[in-house]
Amino acid sequence: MAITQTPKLPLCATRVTKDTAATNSSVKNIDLTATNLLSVHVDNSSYATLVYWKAWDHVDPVVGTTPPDYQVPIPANGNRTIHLRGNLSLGGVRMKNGLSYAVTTDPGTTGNSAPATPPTIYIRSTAGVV
Amino acid sequence: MPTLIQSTVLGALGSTLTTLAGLDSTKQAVKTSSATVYFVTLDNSQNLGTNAVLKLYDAALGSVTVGTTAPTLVLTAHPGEIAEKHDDQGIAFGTAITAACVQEGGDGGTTNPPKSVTAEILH
Repeated sequence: MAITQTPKLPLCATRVTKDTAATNSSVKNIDLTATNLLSVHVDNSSYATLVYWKAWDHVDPVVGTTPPDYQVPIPANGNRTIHLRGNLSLGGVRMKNGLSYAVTTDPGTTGNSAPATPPTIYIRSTAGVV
Repeated sequence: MPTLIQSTVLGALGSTLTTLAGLDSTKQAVKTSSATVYFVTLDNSQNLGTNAVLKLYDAALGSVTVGTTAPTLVLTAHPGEIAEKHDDQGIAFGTAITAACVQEGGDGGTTNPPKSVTAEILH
């Protein structure tokens, strides 16, 4: 038998980022280093328009130009908690360069319209261990 | 004797699991009418050097041009990894679900993953 055991790292987030007015200006490299993105909760309950939460594994994306690596639609007057997995040992998905995000009302790479009522976002991440 | 309780499990988390083995830039119809997507996985474990990016479009197959049409949902799997996205309430697709997988994020990109990737979509 040959087993390998890596140090136990926290599967729960070590950091929660709250943004009470997420909009089309990207919030860049929120953990200031590589990080694991575990989940995001987007509260769009006060806005009667569908919005798109976009995330980049990029320290300096340009909203409307840089192709998002992750994108999830959040319904009008709704909220969603999105759980992400990919990194089997650490949980979450790896953001090897850094985690940046924005919210727009239009999808895809070129979408850069700001929501009239910015949603509140909670992001759970574990910084520095990818 | 223990009390046995059996509850009816509501079909709230979808009724169909669509598996797309060998998904690439050739668009595939997952569902031809409206649906709610609860769980998505993308198995990129065979590609150790490239990302795979799953794109789901809220559009009928004929209305999607991979590399041009803006996707509704984007999920990136890093090299050698299986990415998952799930939420209990689901994401509504009002028209249809069409899927494709390339190496690039966002709207653009038509580069096939070098080796086979498999996507699973619970709707």
